Amino acid sequence: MNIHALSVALMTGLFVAGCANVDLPSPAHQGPIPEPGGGVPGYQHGGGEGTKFAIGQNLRRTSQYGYLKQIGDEGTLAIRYSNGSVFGVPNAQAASLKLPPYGASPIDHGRYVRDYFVRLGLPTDQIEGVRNMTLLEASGRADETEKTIPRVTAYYSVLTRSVGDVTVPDSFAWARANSEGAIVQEGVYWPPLPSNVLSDARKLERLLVDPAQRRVFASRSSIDPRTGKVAIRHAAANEDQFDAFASLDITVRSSVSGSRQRAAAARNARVPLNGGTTIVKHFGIDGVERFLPQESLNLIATYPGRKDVSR
Amino acid sequence: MTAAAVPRNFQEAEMSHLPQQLGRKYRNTAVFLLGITMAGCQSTGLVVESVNLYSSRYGANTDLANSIANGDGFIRAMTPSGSEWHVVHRFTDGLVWDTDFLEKAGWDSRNFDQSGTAISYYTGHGLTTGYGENPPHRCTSSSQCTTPPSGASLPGICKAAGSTNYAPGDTPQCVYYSDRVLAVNGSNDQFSGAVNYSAGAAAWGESPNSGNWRGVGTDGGTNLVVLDASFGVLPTYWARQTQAAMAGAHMLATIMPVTGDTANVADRGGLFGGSWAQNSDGAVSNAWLTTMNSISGSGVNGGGCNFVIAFDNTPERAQRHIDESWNDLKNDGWDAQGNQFYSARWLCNWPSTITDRSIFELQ
Repeated sequence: MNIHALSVALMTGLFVAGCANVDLPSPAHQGPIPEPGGGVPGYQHGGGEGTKFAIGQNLRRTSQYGYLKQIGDEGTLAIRYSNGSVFGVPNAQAASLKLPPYGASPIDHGRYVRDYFVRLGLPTDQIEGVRNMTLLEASGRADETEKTIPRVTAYYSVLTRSVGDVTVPDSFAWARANSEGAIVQEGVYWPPLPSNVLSDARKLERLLVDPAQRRVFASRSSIDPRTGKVAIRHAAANEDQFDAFASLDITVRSSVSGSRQRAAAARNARVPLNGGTTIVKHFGIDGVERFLPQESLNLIATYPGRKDVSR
Repeated sequence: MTAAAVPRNFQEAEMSHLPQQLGRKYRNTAVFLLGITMAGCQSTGLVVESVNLYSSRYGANTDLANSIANGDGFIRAMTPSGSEWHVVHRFTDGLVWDTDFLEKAGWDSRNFDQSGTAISYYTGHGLTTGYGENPPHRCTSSSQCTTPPSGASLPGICKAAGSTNYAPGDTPQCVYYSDRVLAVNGSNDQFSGAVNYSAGAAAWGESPNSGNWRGVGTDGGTNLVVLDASFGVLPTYWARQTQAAMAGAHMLATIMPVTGDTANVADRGGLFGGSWAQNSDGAVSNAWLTTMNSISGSGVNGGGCNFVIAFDNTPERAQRHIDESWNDLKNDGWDAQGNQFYSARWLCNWPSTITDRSIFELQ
């Protein structure tokens, strides 16, 4: 599997720094990350050049819990050594949190956040869209003698990623901006992608329109590929082990209901069970189910299951 | 004065009265003992209960795939080398019993709500219960919602959805109150695997610091409850569905589906814990809410919100909880002393500019 140029640079820097017993390494350069094998370039954020994250005064750098951190009076910008993901996290009492959101609408906010990341080097041709989220707050009496109406206090805008027409749902660049244009909080993980994942994604797209290939795929996977969506999946931002692959993503539903609902459902198939949780399963070009690193995690060896019946 | 400042000021006051002639030795001993006492007021334990396997009780297509990885991702993120947190319990699948969460006979105080626990994290199914009418009762005002389905009760509300500013994926319909219930599939369940946390059988966080105002003793101790499950709370019943479960815990974090449901993902727990590793002075509520931004598809299918609620005996104390940092969360001196007032936050996965009426209800 392709290794991120970024993580190599960061780890090498740390190693050299450790051997030489000198200061912490400088964060990787902010901007596009080339993919050495001719794959899809990524984007590195947070190198301290141009970020508007409201970090405050009295800056210092430290290395802690797998992150290279720049810490200020108002917040911390943390870059994960292993994969280059970046999170700017305000302190709980940061002044930047108290201001209203940027712009007159969520659309204004989304445009501002998009421009912010593009100006710093995020590739525009990989921006699939901007999804705006709403932060609400409410407080009141718990007995709700007067019904409390939640109020809007902030927006978060999330840039989603695609390569060509293939979505990359595990990548993100998001931020919350306040009325002064400061970035109150941000998170970015936009890794470079090896070349084979895009070519495999194209093969999956062709498979979906070819009945003969679909039949072969279905016989191997026991799923109807027409119910799936082609995507490039990669490890989550909190994973140290990188993996990326082209996937036919299949969404399945799972719900459990109480006995009354089950009985009602048996009497009348139209009784709504109000949805159910969804699980996205991944299938590779060979029809074999695949798992992202975070989906394979199991700490049973570290914490063996034991329980006394007296508990 | 904040409660957090109490022990510090107490320490200073005590020290100022120490006779000088006691000398450095005794002063140091006193400082040490006070330090021990203060350390005892800090909870750093983690309890994680994760369930994937349901089909033996609920039938085909009820198993989950990512709960254990999700819970373990939380543990891993919170316990890197040098971490201040430690695992008290990690239970999975058949070892997750309904009694773990319930107050009776002190069950929960040996499991989900054990003294010394800072964060209790459940990941698995929430039970689907009566909610909307069948067929759906389309509405324009909550006053039209008067006929709850089986398993639900009044009051009903006209849930807003489908148009600009409201949750996508549905149109307004009448929905009704029902207690919220976790669904587990344990090897020693006493209540068919159902954990009703709205009706009083669950009470989390009671401690010597909170006092016995909830009437369940003081043998619990968790400070944050995370319910990473389907239908954690439903609009607009967030206070009523969670109030009874809060007996001293600072906050409860969960997911509030509006037009869809929670996605069973493997990275929500790790992203949440990762926020502590990034900045322990950051707000815990903020960390939970913003996992939504980093999860594929937001972690909710359809319209929904990540949600955090805090209760206490004054509005100011409830507000302070919702602003707590990870460092504050450990402080048992701030255990809730009542549940008469709440403060809540949502991060919802759609844009809205509504300021003069509810984003969740057509009143």
